Amino acid sequence: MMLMEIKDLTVSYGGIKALRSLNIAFEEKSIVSIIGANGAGKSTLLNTIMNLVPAESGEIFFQGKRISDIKSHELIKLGISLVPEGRMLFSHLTVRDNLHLGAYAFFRTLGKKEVRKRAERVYELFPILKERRDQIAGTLSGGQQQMLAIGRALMADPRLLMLDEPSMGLAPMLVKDIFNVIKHLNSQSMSILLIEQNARAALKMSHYAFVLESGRLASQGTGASLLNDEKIKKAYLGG
Amino acid sequence: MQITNRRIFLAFFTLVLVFPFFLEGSYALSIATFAGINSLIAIGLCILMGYAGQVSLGQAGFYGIGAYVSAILSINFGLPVVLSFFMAAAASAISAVVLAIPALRLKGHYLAVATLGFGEIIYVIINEWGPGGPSGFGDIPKFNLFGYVFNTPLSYYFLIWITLMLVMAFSINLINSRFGRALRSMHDSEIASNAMGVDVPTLKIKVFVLSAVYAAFGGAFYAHYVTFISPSSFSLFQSVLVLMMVVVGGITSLWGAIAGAIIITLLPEILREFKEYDILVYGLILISSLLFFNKGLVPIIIERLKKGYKGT
Ligand SMILES: Nc1ncnc2c1ncn2[C@@H]1O[C@H](COP(=O)(O)OP(=O)(O)O)[C@@H](O)[C@H]1O
Ligand SMILES: [Mg+2]
Repeated sequence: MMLMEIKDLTVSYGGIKALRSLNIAFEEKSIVSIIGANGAGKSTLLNTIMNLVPAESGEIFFQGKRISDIKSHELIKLGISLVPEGRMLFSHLTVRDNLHLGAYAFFRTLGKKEVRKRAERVYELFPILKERRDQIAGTLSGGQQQMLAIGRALMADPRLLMLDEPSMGLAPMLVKDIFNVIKHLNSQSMSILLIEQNARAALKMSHYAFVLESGRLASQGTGASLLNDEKIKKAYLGG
Repeated sequence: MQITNRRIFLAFFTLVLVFPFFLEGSYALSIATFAGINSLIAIGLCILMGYAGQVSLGQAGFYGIGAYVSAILSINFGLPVVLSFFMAAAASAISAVVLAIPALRLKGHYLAVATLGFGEIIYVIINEWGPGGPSGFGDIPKFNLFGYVFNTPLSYYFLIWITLMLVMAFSINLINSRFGRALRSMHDSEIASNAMGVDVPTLKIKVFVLSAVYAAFGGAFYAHYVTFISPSSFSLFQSVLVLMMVVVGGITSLWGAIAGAIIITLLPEILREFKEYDILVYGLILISSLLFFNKGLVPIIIERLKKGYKGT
C-alpha cells in the first residue's frame, strides 16, 4: 500500500489555479522530493495535504485512509507533521515552549514525562537547542531556528515528516547538517516529503521525486533517473 | 505561578490590602474601587490582545451586558445578586460566541472594526430598549453575599480587590498553562499553531468568551456598586479607555493591565483642570505612550530592572 495517494487534486486561490489535477503517490519509509520553480505550487501541495488550504477537487489518502476532510489540528494525530515554509516558529516563546507546542496534540495521551522524553530526543539530535532551551526562539540564528522548526515537528513523532524548503537562507555547511539529519531520520524509518530549491542535492538523497510545473506534474521518477534526465538537467540542474 | 510572579503578587496585594488604612475619606476609596473594576476588564482584554493577538474595540459591549443583565435580573426578577452576576456572565459569554464565530476569519483592522460594531450595537440596544432609555435607571441592589450587604465603600473596596486577587492568580496560572502556550503560539503563527494540533478557531472563541466574562463581571460589579447605570458608561469611549489601559500598562503583561487601569482611572482626577479638554489629553497620552513607550510601562520597568541587576 502507498503511504500517500493524491488523486486529481486541484487547488485555486480565488480563480487562480495553483494545482491542476495532480496525481501523486509514494511509498512508506522513503525520501520523496518535490522540485519545481518558484510559484510551481510546491508549498500549496503541502499546505493542502495539511488542510491549511482547501482543495477545490480531488482526494488525499494517507495509509489508505481518506484525509481530505480531516481538520488541520487533527491531522498531526494521524502522523503527519509539517515544517512550514519560512519556519513559522513561535518567535516570542522559548525554545522549550516551541518544542512542547509540537507535542500539543499529544499532551493528554502521552503525559508530561513522555513529552519531556521526546524533547530530550530532539536535544540529542540538535544539542545546541538544549543549551538554548530557555532562549526566545526569535533570537536564535537562522540555522538554529531551522533546527527548532524541525525539532518542533519531530515532537509529534510523525510517520510522515513534510519539510518546505528547510535549507532556505542557510549557509552551505548548515544545509549539509540539515540534510544529514533528514537522512538520519529516514534511516530510522520515517517517511520524508521534501521541498527543496537545490534540486541536485534533493535528488541525490531522494528515493523518488516529482517535478511540478505551473501546478501540473511535469515529470516523476527515482532520484537517480531524474538526475540523468536531459530535460531536468537543463531546467533545474544548471545544464 | 513563577517565582518572580509570586513575589510581585504577594507584594502588590499586601499593598492593596493595607492601602485603605492610610486613606482618609471614602472618595479615594471609591476611585480605588473603580480602578479595581477597570483592572478586571483590562486583564481580560490583555489576555485577548496581548497573549492571543486578537484585537477588540468592543469590550464596553460585554461590560454593558454584564451591568444591564445583572441589574435587570436582580431588580425585575428579584434574583439574588450572586445569581444575577453569573447570569450576566453567561449572557456575555453567549454574545461573545455570537461575535467570535463570524469574526474568526478577520484579522487586525477588520477585527477591530467588527468588534467596534459589536460594541455599538450593544450600546444602541441598551440606549433604545434598556430601562429608562438614554437616562438609565437606578435602585439597583448593592452586592450581597450570604446576607452580608457590601454597602460601605471600604467593604466594596475589599470585595473588588480580593476578587481581583483571585482573578489574577487564576489568569497567571492560565497564561502559563498549556492553554496559555497555545494562545501565545496562535499569536505568533496561526498556521504553525494549527499544524501543531491547536484548534485555532475554537481557541479564538474560548479566549473571546474569557475576556467577555471578565468584562461582564466588571460591569456587574460596577452596577451593584453605583446602583445607577445609564448607556453613556458603556459607549465606544469606554472601549477605548480599556484599550488605553492595556496599551499604557504594557499589552504583554497582566500586571501592565492593572497598572494601566490604575493610571487611566486616576487620570481624570488629575486632569480635572482640563475640563472638557480631557478627551484631548487622554488622546495625547495614548499617542505619546505608543510613540515613546511602545512596549508599555510594566515591560519597560521590568527590562530596566533586569539591566540594573546585570549592571551591578
Ligand atoms: N495565499 C495565496 N493567495 C493567492 N495566491 C497564492 C497564495 N499562495 C500561493 N499563491 C499562488 O499560487 C501559486 C503557487 O504558489 P506556491 O505553492 O507558494 O509555490 P511554490 O511553493 O512552488 O513556490 C503561485 O502562483 C502563487 O502566487
Ligand atoms: Mg514555496
